[in-house]
Amino acid sequence: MKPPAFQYYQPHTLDEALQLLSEHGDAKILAGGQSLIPMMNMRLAHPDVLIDINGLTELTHIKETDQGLAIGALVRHYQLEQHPLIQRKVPLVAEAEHLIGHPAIRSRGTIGGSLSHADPAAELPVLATLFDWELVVSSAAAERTIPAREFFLSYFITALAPDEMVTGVRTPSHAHAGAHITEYAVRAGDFALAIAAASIVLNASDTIQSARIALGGVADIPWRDPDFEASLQGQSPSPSLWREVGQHIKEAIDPTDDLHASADYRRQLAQTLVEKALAGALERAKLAEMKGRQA
Amino acid sequence: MAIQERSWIGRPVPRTEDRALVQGLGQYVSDINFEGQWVMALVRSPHAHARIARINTEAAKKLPGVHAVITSQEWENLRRPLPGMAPIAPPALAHDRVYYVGEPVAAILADNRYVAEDAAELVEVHYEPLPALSNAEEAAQDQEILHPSLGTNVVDRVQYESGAGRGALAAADHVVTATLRLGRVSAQPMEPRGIAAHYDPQNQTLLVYHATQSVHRAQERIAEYLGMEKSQVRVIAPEVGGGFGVKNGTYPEEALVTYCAVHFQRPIKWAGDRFEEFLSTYQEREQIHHVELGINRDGTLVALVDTYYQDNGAYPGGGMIVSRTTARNLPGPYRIPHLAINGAAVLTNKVPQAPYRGAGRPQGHYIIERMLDRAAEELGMDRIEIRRKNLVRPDELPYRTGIPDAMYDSGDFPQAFQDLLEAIDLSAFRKRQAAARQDGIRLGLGVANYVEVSAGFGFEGVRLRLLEDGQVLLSTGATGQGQGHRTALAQIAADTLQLPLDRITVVEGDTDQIQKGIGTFGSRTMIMAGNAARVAGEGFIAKAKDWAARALEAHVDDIIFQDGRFSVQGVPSVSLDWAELARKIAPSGEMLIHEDYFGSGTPTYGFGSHGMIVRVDERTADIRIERYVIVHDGGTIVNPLLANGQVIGGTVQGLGSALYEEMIYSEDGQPLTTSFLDYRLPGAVESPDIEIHHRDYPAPSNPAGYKGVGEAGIIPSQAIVLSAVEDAFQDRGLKLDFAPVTPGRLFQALEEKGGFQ
Repeated sequence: MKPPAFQYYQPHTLDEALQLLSEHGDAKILAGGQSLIPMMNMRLAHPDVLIDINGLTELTHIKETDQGLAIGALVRHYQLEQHPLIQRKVPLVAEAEHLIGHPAIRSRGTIGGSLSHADPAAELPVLATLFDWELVVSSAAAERTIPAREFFLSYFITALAPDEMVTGVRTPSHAHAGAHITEYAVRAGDFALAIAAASIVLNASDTIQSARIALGGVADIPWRDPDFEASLQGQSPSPSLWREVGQHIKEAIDPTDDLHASADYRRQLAQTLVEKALAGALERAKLAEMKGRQA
Repeated sequence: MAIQERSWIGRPVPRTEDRALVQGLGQYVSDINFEGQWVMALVRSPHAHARIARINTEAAKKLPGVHAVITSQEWENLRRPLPGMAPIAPPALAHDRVYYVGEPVAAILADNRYVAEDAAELVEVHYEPLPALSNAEEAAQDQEILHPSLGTNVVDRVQYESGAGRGALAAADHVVTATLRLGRVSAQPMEPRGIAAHYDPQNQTLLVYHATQSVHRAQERIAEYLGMEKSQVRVIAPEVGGGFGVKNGTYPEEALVTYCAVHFQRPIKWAGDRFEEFLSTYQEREQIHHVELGINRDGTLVALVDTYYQDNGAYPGGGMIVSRTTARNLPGPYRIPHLAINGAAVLTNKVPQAPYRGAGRPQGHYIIERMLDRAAEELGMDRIEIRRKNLVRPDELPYRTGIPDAMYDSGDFPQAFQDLLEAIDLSAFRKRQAAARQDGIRLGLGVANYVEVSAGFGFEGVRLRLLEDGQVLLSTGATGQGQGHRTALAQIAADTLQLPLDRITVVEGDTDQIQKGIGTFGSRTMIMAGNAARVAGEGFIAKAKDWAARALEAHVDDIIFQDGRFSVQGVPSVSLDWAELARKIAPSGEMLIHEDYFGSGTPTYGFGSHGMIVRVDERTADIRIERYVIVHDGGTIVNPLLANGQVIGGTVQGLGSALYEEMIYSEDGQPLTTSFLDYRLPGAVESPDIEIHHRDYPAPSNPAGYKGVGEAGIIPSQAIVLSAVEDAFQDRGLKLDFAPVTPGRLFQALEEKGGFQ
């Protein structure tokens, strides 16, 4: 479990890092190293070049913007868990962090790394999909943004070009007030067998103005179906509606069998978790609405 | 002050070894670095069964930093079977065929592990894959024989019959049948295996640092393999980070490292990594049992008939001990007048089996406890009642189980069970269970009783030496792996020698420090080395009296030893303590040393009862442990902190093999769970608080009354978890027949009962 030899660079600026990335064909960005380093130690990954971006302080920001927050790619999980702006503006992110790995992992792993790694059973890609985050992506030549739903292509495959890296995330803060995330993992800190996250915004009449549902661990990318979500608009939220939604999603997803869960088991987990996520989201949406009225 | 109050025995003394260990100061094999050493990495087979057509090592040999690339194609000496494994043993390096994924095929010696692994990737092995045997019951049919020289895949059979055997089933009112299985598990000690060897050509001696449970057995194997005298080989086990049975046998790496150290006259080190721990360290538990239990209408057990197959992997390993111990544990603490047991250890294309904590005890108890649950259901009887009815009573002790030389000798099994039920408050639980079910919450109770058989063969020794400052050095061959021997053995010696604990230093695992030893496994150390410490202490005092007689100018018969001082009978005012005696001895240039051994062919029988309450989420198939209670007899307890640590550690490890851990192999023999991502050990969050109630019935078979405690926790774990989960779905008739019951497996079992309702 020792990695093969590689060239190691420690750039001091983003421009330097992007320049290195454009110069080297088989280069990997090293951020928290929580997935890359084990893969190299098991010789499943053989990059010729590692570009260590841990010194790039320009990627460590958490800033308020008109729409929500701008978060640098190098922001670590523990900061997402603890930072007051995250807790206030995108509280579901802080909440989801408790479900990610263990404190040692959260002290190293980064938001940019988690999204770039694109594990469909990881929490942050699910939230990125649920809230339509935009990923800021840079190369030496240009910067562009990619909506989350266009970023994840398949298991561990993203829309990043070889010379591009994620430098940050823009996350809108709306729809966080009535949101909930829940998952089932066999042991604390394990990758979840399934994740469900939901957010609900209510009309004044307490019917659904908008609802979003995203799942992890049930497909090759985080699962979401905006057309189905649209069909929920105007309906009255109730346990029986959630059961219908759960039933629909159970049939709509197409998970695969693996060592730890059969496709049928994942379907049942997805159904159960979706109901739970929606019920949790509704409770919070009502609370938010009440607070809104009081204010 | 009464003697008893002053005794160190029974005191919860914190471990003296911990101060260094918790500071990270422990020296393990991977911390040992010799000047100029080469490190070893191995090319391991990626096939479960294949012929090796040819091996090309040229590219690997050319890599800078590589000193040698070794195959048994070139090195015929390495084709010899390894010592210490019968009736068939693997070579150090496979030469014509590989029999399991992970079997060593080539060894690289290089400057460091990085280069060695690079070189390993450059070795080209051309394999011709062969069909793999991955099912023990099928392999036992001998349609294809793995090792033609054996003539069969069944490497060992165990057969016991008592009473009328199978014939007794006809007389029973009911016969309950079941096929019950246990999955394969891997011990995964925190420290992987490792070995480092240094040859001194001038003195022709070999120094070996070895993560082993038995330095003397390792010394014997190494000397035999290298054709050296045992006296030329010194084996030291430095700190060993867990063993659990799998650091105790014949492995190719031991032969390769020591052979190369002598051949190249270079220090060689192999520090196995976690991946190798999954691919090459021996595994355990995998068995399938076809059971028939004869039972009368009133719940009385009549006969147990069990035919089972143990998937032993590609070589014997130590697996035969496991299948035999399984047979001996099948009756558990219950009265079964007629037995017919027929077990087969079967070779397949997987990693070999070796005893892992429990080593057949959990398997045997799993079968009888599962069958009692099935029988209770068949009779419409309570699971508790059927156990009460059949537990061996104290008035029946000593009780012969019907298996040769198995005789339970002490304690009160029904009382322990009763105490457990009271601790759990059975009737209150049943009420709570019924109420919870109304709210859609499923609670379940599991109970199991067990007997823990320990030691019963061989010997162990202790050597005591008085140092010049009056401290006593205690050496033993019972190499520890974290159990706390240095504390417990010092407590025993402190009592005998009437010394403060901190005046005794314990050295484990160095063949230069004591001539003979067997090792630490099977919960034997307190029984064997503990009694040896007492015996040696008495001999040591006798020799000390000789010296005291000379120093005090008296006849040795007049020397008395009291309160840690030697004096002449009737002259209490003139006396010597150990330090003063040491000063008197020093000028002579001689040393006060005594080495003594304790041997016993009679095992000890600890026993107890476990109870657990689980909460099961019907929709996610999640199993949470609400409560875990143990009534535990471990004989005379030397140190309750250490004993509790053993019981709790064993229980948690057992929960792993009951709920999470499973080495999964594909049908073609590929291991699929080869990292901690997929092979799930229980963590702190999964570990319940465990309540332990001690019942200390001294063992009648040894002077100190010690019994084994290392396996008590793990024995009932698989039985009790499955029992508790079944109880939570008693209304649905859930039947579980595979351990572990992972969430995925529980989901499947519930689906077969109609799924979530």
